[in-house]
Amino acid sequence: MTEIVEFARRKQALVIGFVPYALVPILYVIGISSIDGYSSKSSLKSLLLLSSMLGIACVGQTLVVIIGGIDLSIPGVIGMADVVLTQQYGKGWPFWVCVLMVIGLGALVGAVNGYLSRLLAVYPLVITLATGSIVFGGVLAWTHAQMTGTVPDYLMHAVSVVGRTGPIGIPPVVIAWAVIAVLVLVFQRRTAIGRRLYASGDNPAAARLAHVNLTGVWILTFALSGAFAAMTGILFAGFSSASDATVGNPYLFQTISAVVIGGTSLLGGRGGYGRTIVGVLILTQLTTLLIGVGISDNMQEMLLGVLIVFLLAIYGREPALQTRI
Amino acid sequence: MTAPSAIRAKPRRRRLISRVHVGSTSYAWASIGAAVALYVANVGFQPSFASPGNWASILAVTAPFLLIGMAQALPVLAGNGGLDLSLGPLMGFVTVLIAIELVPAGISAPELLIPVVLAIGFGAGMVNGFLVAFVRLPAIIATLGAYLFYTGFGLYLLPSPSGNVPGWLMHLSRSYGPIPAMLVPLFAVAVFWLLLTRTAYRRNLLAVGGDDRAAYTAGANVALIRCSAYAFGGMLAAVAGLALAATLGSGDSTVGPPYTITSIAAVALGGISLSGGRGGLLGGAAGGAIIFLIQNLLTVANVSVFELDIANGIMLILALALNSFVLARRRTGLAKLELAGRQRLQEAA
Amino acid sequence: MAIAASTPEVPVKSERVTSDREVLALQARGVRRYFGETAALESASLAVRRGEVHALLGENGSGKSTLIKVLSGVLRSDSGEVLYYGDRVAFRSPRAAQRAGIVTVYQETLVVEELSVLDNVFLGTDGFFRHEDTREAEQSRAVAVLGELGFGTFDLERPLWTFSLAQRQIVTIVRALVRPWTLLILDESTSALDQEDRDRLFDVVRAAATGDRSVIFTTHRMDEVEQIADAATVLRAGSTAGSLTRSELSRQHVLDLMSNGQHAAELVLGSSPVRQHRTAVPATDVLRAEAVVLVPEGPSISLSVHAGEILGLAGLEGQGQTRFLECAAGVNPPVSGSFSIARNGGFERVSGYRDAYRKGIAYVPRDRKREGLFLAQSVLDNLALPNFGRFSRAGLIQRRRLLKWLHTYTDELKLDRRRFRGQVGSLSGGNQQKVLLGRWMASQPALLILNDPLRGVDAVTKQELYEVLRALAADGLSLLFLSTEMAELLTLCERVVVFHDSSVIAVLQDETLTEARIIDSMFGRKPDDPSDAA
Repeated sequence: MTEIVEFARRKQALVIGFVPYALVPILYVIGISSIDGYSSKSSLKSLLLLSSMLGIACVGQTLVVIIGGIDLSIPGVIGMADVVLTQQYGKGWPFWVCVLMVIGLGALVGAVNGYLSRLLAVYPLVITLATGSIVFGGVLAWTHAQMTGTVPDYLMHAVSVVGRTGPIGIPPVVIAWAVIAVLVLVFQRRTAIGRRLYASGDNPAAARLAHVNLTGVWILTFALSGAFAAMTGILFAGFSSASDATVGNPYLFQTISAVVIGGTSLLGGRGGYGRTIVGVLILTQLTTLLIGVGISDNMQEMLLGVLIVFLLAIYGREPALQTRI
Repeated sequence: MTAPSAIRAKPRRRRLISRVHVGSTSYAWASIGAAVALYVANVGFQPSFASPGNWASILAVTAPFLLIGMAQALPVLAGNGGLDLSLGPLMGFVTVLIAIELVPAGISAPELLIPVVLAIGFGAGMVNGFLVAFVRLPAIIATLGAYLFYTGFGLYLLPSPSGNVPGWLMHLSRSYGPIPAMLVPLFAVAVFWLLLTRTAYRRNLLAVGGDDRAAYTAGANVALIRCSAYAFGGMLAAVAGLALAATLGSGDSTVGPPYTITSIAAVALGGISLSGGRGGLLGGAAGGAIIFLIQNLLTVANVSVFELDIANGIMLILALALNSFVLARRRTGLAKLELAGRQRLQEAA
Repeated sequence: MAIAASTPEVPVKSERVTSDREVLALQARGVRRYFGETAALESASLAVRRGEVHALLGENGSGKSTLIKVLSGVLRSDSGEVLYYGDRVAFRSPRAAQRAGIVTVYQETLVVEELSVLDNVFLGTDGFFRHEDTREAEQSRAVAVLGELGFGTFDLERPLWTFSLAQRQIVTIVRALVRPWTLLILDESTSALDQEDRDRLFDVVRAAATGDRSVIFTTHRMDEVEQIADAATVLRAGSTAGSLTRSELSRQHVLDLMSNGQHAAELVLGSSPVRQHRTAVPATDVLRAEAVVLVPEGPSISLSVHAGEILGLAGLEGQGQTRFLECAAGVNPPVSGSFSIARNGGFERVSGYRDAYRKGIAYVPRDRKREGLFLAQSVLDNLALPNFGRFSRAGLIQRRRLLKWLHTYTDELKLDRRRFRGQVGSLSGGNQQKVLLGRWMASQPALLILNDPLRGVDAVTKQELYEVLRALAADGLSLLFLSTEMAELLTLCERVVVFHDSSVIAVLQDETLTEARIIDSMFGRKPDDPSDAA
């Protein structure tokens, strides 16, 4: 009996790491069996669409978590991007100029986040909370809460369920997500910068002594987070074709949840975007399931809260104090 | 043969409460100073701010800020990146419970309602504490789940503000004679904390927050102490909910969530270390006061609501900058002290 | 005596019956503890008699610290049994162990910086709310114990962040001694203390143990074992290799047990070994320290490191040698003065850590876990991190080229190529140190600065690395080597610089380079002192 217990204890890490991966198909099966039309093509496309948008927003959050931080300014930047894009395009600016400008703004906000976090050596939690507030308030103040604007048709098409990428019947944003995912994974594993990211999160003191420019790493990573958040805002603009600064608010918790549900540790130095993709697929399916089964918005929130805690109690537990001594 | 029992000479068992720690409020001096300065500025812009007739109502509106800052201070003090994101929704949830469940069920007299509400807050905090300290979930995640839970639950019970709170509770936003009634709960919390810090709980909590490995190996029950910090934090958030209900006069589940950010900002502004082990409730209250006073000042100066957000953000960053500046000064001073200390040791030897 | 004043009740020795249960204070049998897949302890046994000072020895990775954590209640064993004075015990927490009378001073100095000395010392003795003792009682106990250790004027109310590492370690020792104990465990608790403090501690420990209390201590230093141990147990690879009584205690015996008979003739711990003599060394300077001042209004230091030499730095704790080393590496700037490195025919000033690296200075930090390695990353990542840029094209790392180049270094270090993908955290201490050294060797520096790199490394790996370092020097690389072990300095270095009071008190070489001379200098006695009995 003790042999079995010991064997289980030794294989524990492996088993636990595997749970998120297993959940993706499990949830899909549950979906098919409880909701009519769940396995239909349009249903699947819808799922992928939602996942793409969350997935793109999570790129930044993942990278930031790897270096040991967290980005709570993502909703603010998403809202900023949505509003600025629709406003400026509505005023007649060329679309690509608007896109570049918005992404640049997002990256700038991120760079400030990264720089301040290093300078003040304080939890990015609070810094990004503050900058998020500033950006959010700034956008509203700039537009005096009068938010009107438009977006080009092709943007709306790219984010629509019935969108097509050339001959393929998949919305362009999903393809875009796939491409981004590959790039991010390569970035993580096969570039020097990517490896330095992991080192910075694993052991900042050693990273500094190994001649990693920590300030540069933080600025870059947070800037990327801001840029991807801005990208998501642009997509949201196409999705809702409205000018709304609050459109990104649900993503505050959803991005963190997706990263963590995927199995990446908030402590940094481990995990990665591959896991986040899994987390995104789990989270999107969970919310779709809850809606599909007819649970009210409020109940959904409650259940989501419980579910996240439940899942992480299985595989997201921090190491015990005893092992840190 | 049994192991030798550890018998100690115990002259007399000390009273539970007897230690005074001079200088344990030094971390909050800057924040208190800032709060005072802001108060003066507010009075400058709006002289009626200081008139005795307004004290009660001003204090009533300020009280939730003070109390939620104090509530958040506790999980943060317990260390290991601890914080409780659910304290805001919990406040709103308490108002909803009072208006919709407790009063209709006959629990409206203060001697019944107060203990029940405190117990609910304590229990909610304890659940969070259990998840963080025993299940070992990251605090952000555990309390995020709780945040979603209480937000959803509150809205589910009461989608839009309604209901009534007991008269005595509403009276808290007025005064007993010349004295603002809201002083009562504030004073009660202050007494609670003063008593608590005179027991061994103080060094237990600060140790667990300062270096939990040191606390554990020295024999402290880290998980239990950490869990209790969340429980007490939840209890104080329930008090904040009571204060909120007093000003609202009804149940409202939408007004709670923003207080989460307020509470975190209050802790940061109050000079409390976000990694734990340094600070106290006074800082949390001072931070809450600062936030309220700035908001009030900007409102009076006709600044738009959005610019308020900007101001909050900038203020927070400045507070953090000040905090880390102070810490950096301390480290360089440390080098000099080290030299002096070494010499002192060598002389003694 | 303050420590004896807190003696709990223990049966008198004279009533002892010679049976196992009566004599043994602690008995551990077949203790097993796994961490995931790794066996930290396979089958460890230990028998400590009452009134005994028992040394626990073993290479790094042999399981000493894990066994101590089991005994002190931090960890629970997977199987096996521990008997304390005859009763089976399985402590669920350090608090439980303390209740039973076992107090421990851990390898890592664990203190709460914001709390005062008094609070740190009595931490954990209280209940949830209730203080265990009055403040006055706590104060007098603390002062008494501190007095025993020779630190009577410690300010009990000062917060710990104002104290140095050595002082903090003393506080943790006082923390243990102030509680009523029958078994004291010291896990390398003297690492931050200098000779004087250590000797005083040992006096106290020895005095306390006469009576019926026992002490277990771990160390890497044979001289400490000879000083106070009544018996010793040697661990190897998670199991007990054997135990020795006082009469059986000799370096040879210990070494045989530790290394399973390998290299028995070559390994020596802590006494004067054979120094390898090198043939004529060209005395060209590689690094020059010019008028370097380490502390405000401190003395000026000027010295140089020659090409192809291994220059040793020595000194008691806090005498400036570590500071000097860090300044040479560029980690911290000196108060005044400068370092220059030979480059392109001339000498260039070094300004800062990055600049030093660019000019050919590589730094191997002291604490490999804290400052050196990335435990969750692969061996490859750890080895190649500073050099990934060099082997990238269009942003992507060229793995094959990188590996080929790394292999020359890792082969020299005898690091198994197959382990490159594994996590560094799962390697033994000795292998971890090899990885760290490999990283900086692979940067092909002109000067390698090493901050006590072989601390806590097992004897076998140490010898391998000595060879590597010698080979590097023979190839023309210069080494600046700080060590706290006499044997190392005497084995490896042709010159040793001894620091005292933030200045160089002696530069020893050839005939003057002896253990006695080093020790004298460390204590402040100049080499040409007539009272010297060299």
